[in-house]
Amino acid sequence: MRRGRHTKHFAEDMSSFSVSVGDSSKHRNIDVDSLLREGYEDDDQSVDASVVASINDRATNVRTLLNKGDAAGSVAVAVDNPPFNCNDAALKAKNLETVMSSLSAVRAADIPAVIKSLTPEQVDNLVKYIYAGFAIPSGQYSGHLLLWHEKAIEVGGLGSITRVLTSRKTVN
Amino acid sequence: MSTSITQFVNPPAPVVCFAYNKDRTMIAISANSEKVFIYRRNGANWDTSAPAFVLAEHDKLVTGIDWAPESNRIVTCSQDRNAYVWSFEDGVAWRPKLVLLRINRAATCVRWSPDERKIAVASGARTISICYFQPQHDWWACRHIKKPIRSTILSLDWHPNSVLVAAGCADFTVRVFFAGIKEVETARPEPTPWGSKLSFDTCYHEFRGACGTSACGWVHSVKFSPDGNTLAWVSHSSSVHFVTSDEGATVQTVNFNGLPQRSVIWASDNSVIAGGHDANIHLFTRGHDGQWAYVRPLDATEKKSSSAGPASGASAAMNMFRQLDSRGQQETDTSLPTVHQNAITQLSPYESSGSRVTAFASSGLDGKVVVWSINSIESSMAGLKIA
Repeated sequence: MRRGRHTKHFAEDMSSFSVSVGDSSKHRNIDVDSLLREGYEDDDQSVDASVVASINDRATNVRTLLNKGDAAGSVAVAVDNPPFNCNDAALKAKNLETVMSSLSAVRAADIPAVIKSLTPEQVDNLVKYIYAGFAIPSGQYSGHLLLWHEKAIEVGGLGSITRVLTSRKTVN
Repeated sequence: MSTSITQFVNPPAPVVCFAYNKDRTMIAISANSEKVFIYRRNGANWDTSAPAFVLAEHDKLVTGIDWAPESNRIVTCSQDRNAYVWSFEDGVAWRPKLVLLRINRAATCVRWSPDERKIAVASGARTISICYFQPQHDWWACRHIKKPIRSTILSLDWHPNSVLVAAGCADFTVRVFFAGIKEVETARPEPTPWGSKLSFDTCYHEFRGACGTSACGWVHSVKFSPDGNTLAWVSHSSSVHFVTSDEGATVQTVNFNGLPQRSVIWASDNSVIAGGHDANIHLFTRGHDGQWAYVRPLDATEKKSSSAGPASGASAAMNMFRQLDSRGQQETDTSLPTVHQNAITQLSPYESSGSRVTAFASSGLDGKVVVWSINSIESSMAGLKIA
């Protein structure tokens, strides 16, 4: 036992960035990351023209379908292929507005059928949009989105919520 | 053999990790503390009154335990940034030998290589320490794999050839490294389908879950298949991922409807079992077309219904009204319809024949260690065949 204690302290001397564990809380103030070479960097994210175009196309398509009265059809278009690579808040807000206009146009009774027609991936995206919609400060969509949430979770399960929580690809 | 449930530590404490010895007569458990308890089995029954041995050398939570079956040595790692190799000396006590990890963050996971000559230790220092014994110094030294790891390593697994290591990481990535050390290897390692360059810390592959448009989460557990040609891993995005070395290395992702899995094991060459936050265990299999799919939960324990008990009508009615009176509600049963009553922390093979696992063990935050027999699971579910 004694030998073990001794060698452990020796091990701490050996480690290059060691701190004395004896000092009560001093070591907590050391920024160990500054001692390492590279910091963690995010992938480069710049808005390119195709992303802007896809957001505009989606807005046009959804509006056309809504004008035709095809609210159900517009949902699939709205939630497909979200602009994850866009880091421009204004563009994302505009896109979110498009999706919300589509979701809020669907009558409560039609929601289950619409969700049933979506692919599992689209359901995951839908749940992301639902939570993004909840986050809109005015709360104007929240009541209707709660209906969507209930039905979407029936299909996507808790897994789809976990994917919203863990994903770094956000829609808002 | 049917399912056996043992609650080792008393009072119950979450089981962080565990490891059995070769003949499954002893189990080492980290019960959410800095100590490792070793319990012994007498015949069919575990002696849970007191641990047979206590390994007390770490200062902080023990995060990983692995028991080398042939050489009968235990390796433990902890948040105190240390690892020890314990060997049973003179038939009396377990003696620790220090492993010089040279890390500045907690160690998270530890694994013996299948040939029991090397140890891989994962850590929060974005480093994998590949450790080997130096007889001249009487300690375990290590070499580091650092690049291109960008975050804490949460899980590790050795390839059956003992020179490749797969690491699951908190940057959503699984990497396959060459971890052979010249001083240790007895023969020149054969190239594998994963890669042919044989120099230390070569990163053969970086796999990110191809969850389509949804990103993946922390990789909690990663395992090589018995033949070493397929990797399976589970991530915090509630998805299970597979990649085979020889088909252009594309990742297959199976999104799961429930809560995320924490641990995964191979039950055979074409099936994996995963368990995690929903306290159940789940089967995933590979079809003849090579596509992986979710099959079903394997724990179908009938929920014990309290109202269906033999209580006589009058006392049951009285109880109901007493509940209504004191709590304003009828008795609510909060137990889960599964054997584990909390998240599963680890799955391990328990008994195998060839590449097929015939029994496996699971541990949970509820403090239980459960041994499941594949045969009894199969016979309890019509039409289920795990092969």
